[in-house]
Amino acid sequence: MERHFIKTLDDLKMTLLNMAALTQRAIEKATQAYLNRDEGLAQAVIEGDREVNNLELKVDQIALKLLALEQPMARDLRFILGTTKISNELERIADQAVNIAERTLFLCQHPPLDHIPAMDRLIEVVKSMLDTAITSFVEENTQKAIKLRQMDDIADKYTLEVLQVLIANMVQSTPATEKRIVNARRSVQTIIISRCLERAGDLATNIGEHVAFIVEAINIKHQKVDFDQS
Amino acid sequence: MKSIRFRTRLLLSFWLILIPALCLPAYYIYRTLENDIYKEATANAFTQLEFIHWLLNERPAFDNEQALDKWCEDLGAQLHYRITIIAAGGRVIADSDVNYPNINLLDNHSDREEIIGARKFGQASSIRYSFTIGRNLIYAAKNINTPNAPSGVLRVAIPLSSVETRLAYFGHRFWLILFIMFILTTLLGFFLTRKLEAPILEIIQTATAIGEGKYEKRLDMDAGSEFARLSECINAMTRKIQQDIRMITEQKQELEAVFGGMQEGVMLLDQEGKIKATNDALTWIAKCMPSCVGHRPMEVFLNPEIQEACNQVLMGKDMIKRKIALNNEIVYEVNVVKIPDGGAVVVFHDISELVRLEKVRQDFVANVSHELRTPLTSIKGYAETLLNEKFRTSDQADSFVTTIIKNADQMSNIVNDLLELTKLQQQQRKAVRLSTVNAALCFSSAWETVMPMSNEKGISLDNRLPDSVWVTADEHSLIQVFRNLLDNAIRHSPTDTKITVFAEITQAAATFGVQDEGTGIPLQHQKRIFERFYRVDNERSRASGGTGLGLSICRNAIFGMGGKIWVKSPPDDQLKGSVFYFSLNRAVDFLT
Repeated sequence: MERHFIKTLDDLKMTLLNMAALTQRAIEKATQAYLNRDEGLAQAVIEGDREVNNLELKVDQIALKLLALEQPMARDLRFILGTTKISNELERIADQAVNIAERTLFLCQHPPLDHIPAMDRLIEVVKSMLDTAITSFVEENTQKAIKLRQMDDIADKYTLEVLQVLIANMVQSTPATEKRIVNARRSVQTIIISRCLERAGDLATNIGEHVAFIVEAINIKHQKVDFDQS
Repeated sequence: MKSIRFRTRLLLSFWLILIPALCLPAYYIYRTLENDIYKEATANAFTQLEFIHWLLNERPAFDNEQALDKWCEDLGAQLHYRITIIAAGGRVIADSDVNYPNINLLDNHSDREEIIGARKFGQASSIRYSFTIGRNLIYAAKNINTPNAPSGVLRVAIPLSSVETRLAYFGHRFWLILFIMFILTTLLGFFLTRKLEAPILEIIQTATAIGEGKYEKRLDMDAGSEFARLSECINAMTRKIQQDIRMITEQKQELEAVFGGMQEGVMLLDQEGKIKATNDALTWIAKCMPSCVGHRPMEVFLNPEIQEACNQVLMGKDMIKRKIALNNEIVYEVNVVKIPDGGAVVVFHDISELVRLEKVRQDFVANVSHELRTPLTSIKGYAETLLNEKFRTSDQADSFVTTIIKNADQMSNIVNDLLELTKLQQQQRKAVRLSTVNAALCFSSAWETVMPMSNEKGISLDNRLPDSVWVTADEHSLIQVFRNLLDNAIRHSPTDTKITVFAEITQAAATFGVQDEGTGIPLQHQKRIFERFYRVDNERSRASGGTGLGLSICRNAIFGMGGKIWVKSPPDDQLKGSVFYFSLNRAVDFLT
């Protein structure tokens, strides 16, 4: 009985990690597709989302079974609840990746905008946030989970920077109406991409909060955390 | 604990032997003795009986029963035992212990065992407890047939107390002996076990120490003792274990050295699919500090393909080979091989360099053909037009020929650059002849060659180089590097901007920077722009007239001079533009 419980718990963890890996890959591919204007890669991201969705269902199924049949206690209980929450966040991150891919498909139809350095940095920060979130889960490291909030602030800053650059670009663009419309379209789509990335960063922060809940039974949601600790 | 149990066991076995050994003979002796004593007592009783009978025969007849009783009383007082005469009907007619008036109060004695026996056989005896006297008595009876007395049975009753005292004495002695023997055996057992225990305890202590890993421990015992052989065996065993462990440790160290020295990452999985051991290279690949032991491959690599391959091998497949990209850019050939005890070995072989080279080669072939075909198509088109008589004399003919020449120049530039590049790469292999060069002068001469272009676009120069920067370099190559970098900067800058050149000089090296205010280079391209014909944006840069080889030449030249080249885009504290850095070794500043 006990052995079976441990095995199922392990199964749950593996499924969640599988999901995390695919989500991370989806974000990686979506941002690559955006940067390289790679339609094929964007398409692959959109098609790959189904697998993440299936895994989310599987995580829920295993978690429910464990809750119903094994009456888990204390840490095991928190772990099971935490995984369902994390899988939810991961699924939404993967959805953001699909969003980015769809915007990229649109952008590929139009000539490229000028290179926006803030966007490069935003992508780097969000990718490393997702990486940190997953590592904090694997290593059960609360410090890393708390660190995500600092990174989130940086991501917000870059998102704002992208927004400013693109607004300036729309305002200053050529007077010819035709070109102006095209410019506004691609700028808006790019702004949406930056929003998606920012959202993905927020969701990664949530994952960190769930990890803190699992490991230390503390709730760091909606609370000010003293960063000096980290 | 065990030694106590051993002691008890020894004691118990002593007792187990002792009890039958002592009790059985004692019982036998007791019985025989008892028998003999009783026999002797009975014989004695009969003798007494005969004696009284004789006395009775010898003396004159009694007057009456009272006289007989009186005689019996006197005799009994002399002999200290009871004499009774019983008439034929069983009625007591005389008794030494009972006065005559009371004699009729006595029971009828005809049912007594000795009386019945005497009537039947002439004489008989019996041993009984007498309620009259309150002790065990031996009774002996005999028919009397004398004229002196009425016919009946004469009986004597002698107390058995003397016999019983002797037997009791024997019994007491026996229990005392038994008790002493018990104490003796207990002491002996204790002593013996103590004697046994001491070496056993020593062996236990030594064996425990050996079990805990102190293999240098040896047993030291008297050669004469029974445990000498045991201790020899234990010592021999320990020696062998120590030897084997030393050998195994050595082998393990060798194996670890081999593993540690391997470029390939190696990890060992147990039957459950958890990582049992890794080498250093794998720790770097997986970035799991301080250790990945005890985790699953999935947790460490976050890669479903690796986990899947491991699962398949653990489920029974012999071997799986996969090409897997980790950390976005590094490609590994991952081999998962089953091992006999049910686990698996996973080997990561870094093939990203191979993959990259393959890609560069493919790109190069595609690019070089493309680069050459574009001007060639143009040349061919215009040349064919010129073949037509009508156009040959027209005014356009001149412009056609100019275009042909321009394109031919472009092609020849490309070919020249390719040759230059090849030369540089060959030089690199040979080692270039370096001399001490003033970089500031090299820069000036490079700037002069690109001046017309910069003037055309209204680009100004902000030269922050000191008057003399002495570096170890090849003058011609350094000028070429500066020229290529300036050329790129001018071509990618919008009109009316500024190019800044600066140098950061340290003790050992000088780092030069050429900064523009152009469009910049996206992050994902920055690593590849130094490859031949690699272009960030094909249309735009070809339109600006580059050959696609400039940066490649720069890199080769700088490498050849022992330096490094890199790019930062956008530069620190800037939103736009890029800065190309390269470093060179400083020459000894003998001129200043």
